[in-house]
Amino acid sequence: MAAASPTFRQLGPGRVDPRPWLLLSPCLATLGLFFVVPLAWLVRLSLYERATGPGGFYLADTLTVEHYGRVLTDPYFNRLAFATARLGLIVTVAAMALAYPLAAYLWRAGPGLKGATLLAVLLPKFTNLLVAMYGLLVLLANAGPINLVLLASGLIREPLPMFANLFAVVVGETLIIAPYPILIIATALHGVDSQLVDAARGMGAGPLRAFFEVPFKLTLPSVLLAALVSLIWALGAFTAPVVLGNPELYPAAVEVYTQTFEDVNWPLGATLAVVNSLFVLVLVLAAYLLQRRIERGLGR
Amino acid sequence: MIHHLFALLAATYLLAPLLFCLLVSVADSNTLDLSFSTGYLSLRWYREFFADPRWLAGLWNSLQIASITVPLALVSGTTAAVAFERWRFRGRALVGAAILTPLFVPPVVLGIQSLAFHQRIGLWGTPLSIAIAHSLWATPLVFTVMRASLASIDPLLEAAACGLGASPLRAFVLVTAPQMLPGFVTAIFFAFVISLNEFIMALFLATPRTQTLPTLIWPQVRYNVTPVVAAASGVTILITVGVLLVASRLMDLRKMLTS
Repeated sequence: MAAASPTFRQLGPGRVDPRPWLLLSPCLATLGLFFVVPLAWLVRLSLYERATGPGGFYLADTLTVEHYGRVLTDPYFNRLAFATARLGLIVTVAAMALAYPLAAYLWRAGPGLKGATLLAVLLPKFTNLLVAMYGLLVLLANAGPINLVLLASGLIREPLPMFANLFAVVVGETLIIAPYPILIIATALHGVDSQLVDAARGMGAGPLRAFFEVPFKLTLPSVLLAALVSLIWALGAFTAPVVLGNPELYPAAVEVYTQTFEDVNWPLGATLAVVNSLFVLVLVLAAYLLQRRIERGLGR
Repeated sequence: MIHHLFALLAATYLLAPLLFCLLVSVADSNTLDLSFSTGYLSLRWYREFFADPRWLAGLWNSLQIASITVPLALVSGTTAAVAFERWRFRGRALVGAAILTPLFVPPVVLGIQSLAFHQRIGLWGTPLSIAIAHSLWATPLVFTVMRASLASIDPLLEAAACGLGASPLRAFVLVTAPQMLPGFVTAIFFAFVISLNEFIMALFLATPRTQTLPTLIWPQVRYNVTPVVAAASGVTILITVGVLLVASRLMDLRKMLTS
């Protein structure tokens, strides 16, 4: 896509070609009307007082920051923030620990094994994630097949508690999130010339050192991106904590749902969503700055 | 050797829950405590699924919403992709990032903001409301797929058609558009499947009249686990595989047409 490519129709300086903007207008109009405006409305909603009687979802003509005060100071919400961050970090680490080796495997595998592995990564994404959660629910149950096999083999006397706890939530949420970092890192590795590894080996590096010095360092920005995407999704975890966890493990996203539908306190639900989004925004900015530093450090 | 073992374990972890769910859906057992003591296979849970008007209504709503999502995402995603692959303009990088942004917003945030806004403008409770929310994710996917599709097409062919006297629009329709067909099919598949399977936004937006299949599965998984849920999940898997088969068929068809 060089600037001189004949694909790009260029006009003289100072004139704006209206055609690309015309083509972009359906996309930008829907994005504006159904993403940006609702986001602004969400912020406004978080500043209303909650509805007092039935029939309404918020109290019109009010303006208050009481929900933000509550979210930031109430010990209940502090515990919620802690649970959310803890789950987000654990799931991110688990997803990355699965993603990098599997992406490296995809990079070096032959076409047949590569196709089969890729299918295994993509298939859960092409199906409803409740299907996978339901399958895990059955697999991890006290009377599920894993426990039955372990009991029958005499390795354990009592069923292992693998259900309604943090372990189950991490197993489930990692399953939901792992395909994203796998695909991001696999794409990055795909662009690395594997002859560079041979060159490093030829110059006397061991296999691990050769991998670390060439592909790993070259894909470091993508690793960061993959970790960031995992963290963003893990901080918004909703499905696995509810299906496989218990109320003490519920993160912020579940609380948004509870406030909206069970307590019918839309302004507080909106506040939680806004705070979550702001936190993600800070993370994205921090990662962007870090990525620039890494790229400069690599001399690019 | 150890890397093959790792890949096998990883693939098992990713696929076992799916396969197990399918297994439960065809087992002739009342409970989930599967000892498979009976060992019989049966379609009773599928029969129960198709005999229940609630599940059928959910299936119908899901298909309807996915069918609305596809054209919404296809129009905005494809036109934007053409603009990106054929023109350079000021703010291109920024617009590109903006189009992809909804993919990185947690579905709960998209769900509550759509609920609040759709309630305000009177859209809440219609299938269109859920389809619009789903197109927030489907559009950037279509955009990405169509950009890759357009980038792989030699623009000189279109230029040659123009040189031979075709108008730019005619050259695009006759030369470039047919080559975009595989991209289109992939994009339709992605948009359809994402809408069919998405359930957190649907959970926020669905009303009793617009329950989708996943939102009907949800309380069952939470509170009242019977194998009908596995059958309902099995139905969504079957539809996905069906769409995938049709999509790959269409791509073969196009290969036959061009060869």
